[in-house]
Amino acid sequence: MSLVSLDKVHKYYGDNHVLKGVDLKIEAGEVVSIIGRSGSGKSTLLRCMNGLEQYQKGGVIVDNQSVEDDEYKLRLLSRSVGMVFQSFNLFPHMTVGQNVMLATKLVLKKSPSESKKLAEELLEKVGLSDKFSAYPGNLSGGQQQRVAIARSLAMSPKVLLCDEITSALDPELVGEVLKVLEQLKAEGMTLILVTHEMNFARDVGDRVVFMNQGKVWETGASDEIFANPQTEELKSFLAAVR
Amino acid sequence: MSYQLDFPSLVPFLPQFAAGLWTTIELTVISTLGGLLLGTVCAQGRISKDTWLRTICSCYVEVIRNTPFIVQLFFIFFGLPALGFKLSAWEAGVIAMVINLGAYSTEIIRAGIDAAPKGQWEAGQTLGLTRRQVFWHIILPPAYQRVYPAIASQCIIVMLGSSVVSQISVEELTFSANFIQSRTFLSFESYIVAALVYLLLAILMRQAFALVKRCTFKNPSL
Repeated sequence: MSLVSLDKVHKYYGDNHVLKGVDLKIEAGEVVSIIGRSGSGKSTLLRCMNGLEQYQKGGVIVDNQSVEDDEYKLRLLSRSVGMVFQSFNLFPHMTVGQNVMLATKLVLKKSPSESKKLAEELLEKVGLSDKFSAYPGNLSGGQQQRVAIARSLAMSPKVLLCDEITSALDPELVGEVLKVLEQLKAEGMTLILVTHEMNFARDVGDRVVFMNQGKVWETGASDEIFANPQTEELKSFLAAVR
Repeated sequence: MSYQLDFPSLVPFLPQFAAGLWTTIELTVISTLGGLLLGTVCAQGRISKDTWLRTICSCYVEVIRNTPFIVQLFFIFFGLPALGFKLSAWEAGVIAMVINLGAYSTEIIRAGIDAAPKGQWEAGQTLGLTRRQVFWHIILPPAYQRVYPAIASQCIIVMLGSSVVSQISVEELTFSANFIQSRTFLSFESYIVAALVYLLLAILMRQAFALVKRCTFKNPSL
């Protein structure tokens, strides 16, 4: 059984048919990059995997749980699926440590000392052990995004969804975030990224999914896709972003 | 035409002023705490998924914000006993003030909540928090921070508005001033003293709110 499995998923925003029957299977430990033009449905697809968007037809199964419009089920699902956002979405009134510990305390019901220990470990992992008591507003974008990753990891998810997580960063800060992702891959974490970082998709990603017009237009191993795109649409897209 | 101000004649009445001042402070503190609590709960009601709860909360806010405070006060003090609720003047005054501030602060707090980026809700949701947990832990504190100046002003308005409850003979500051001027016929002096005390109270409240702000919101401003 695949970790993530989408079966003929259709999604409409009113009359706008955004996803037109998407089939996709992702295995545990894979690093999958979803690429495509803006408006092709990449982010929507990602957000269907953890219930942030509802779909109208088809089925999504993640970690053997069906993703449905049900608050309780989605809450259970959120223990398996972590998400990191383009705009970080750190909680501005909490310190970095409090951000990371919030869900371990409230959701996993860990003791404060246990939560603190875990938060310190995770912050060390993302290279921010000295920022435990800092507020997000005093960190750079790259640092904020690394805190956001640590915060997601605190729930020990099986898959981490990354929605354009380097798009809001200054170019010189992108590297430090991607390095954390590489480290996660080395540890066997399943990563699904909507990304514009083609170098990362090629060098670190295992597989690339090219979305076009609400469909999975072309998919394959990363090196294959970049070296040898099959469809005209992917060729022109790659030519445009290079 | 000349008028000789005569403050010394008011000195024997200082205890009355002090008692009135104390009642005003009491009314203000209780109604500020109660009103903000009520406003917070109703603000949560106004963004609830439950249509009935949303409607009830909006009706409350609209009715209170679109009727005069003194009418609300009379309704509670003279109207409710007709329905069998017996209230002392002080109790009626506090209830009226809490209900009044509750309605205004509902709207103020809701504005702060509305300004929360959607991503904050989503981040909380993807971490597995319940909607209620997201509201209380993630959305509400920055919402307060955003609208804090407006809340502070509204609480001061309620403090000044407490003078109205003298109309149902709650013995607060304005009531004292009334009483003293009717005894001494020094109306000018009495109300000058009352006005200065209100002014001082308002300034002190601003200072207190600023102090609370410094101690509570330690993060860089939003």
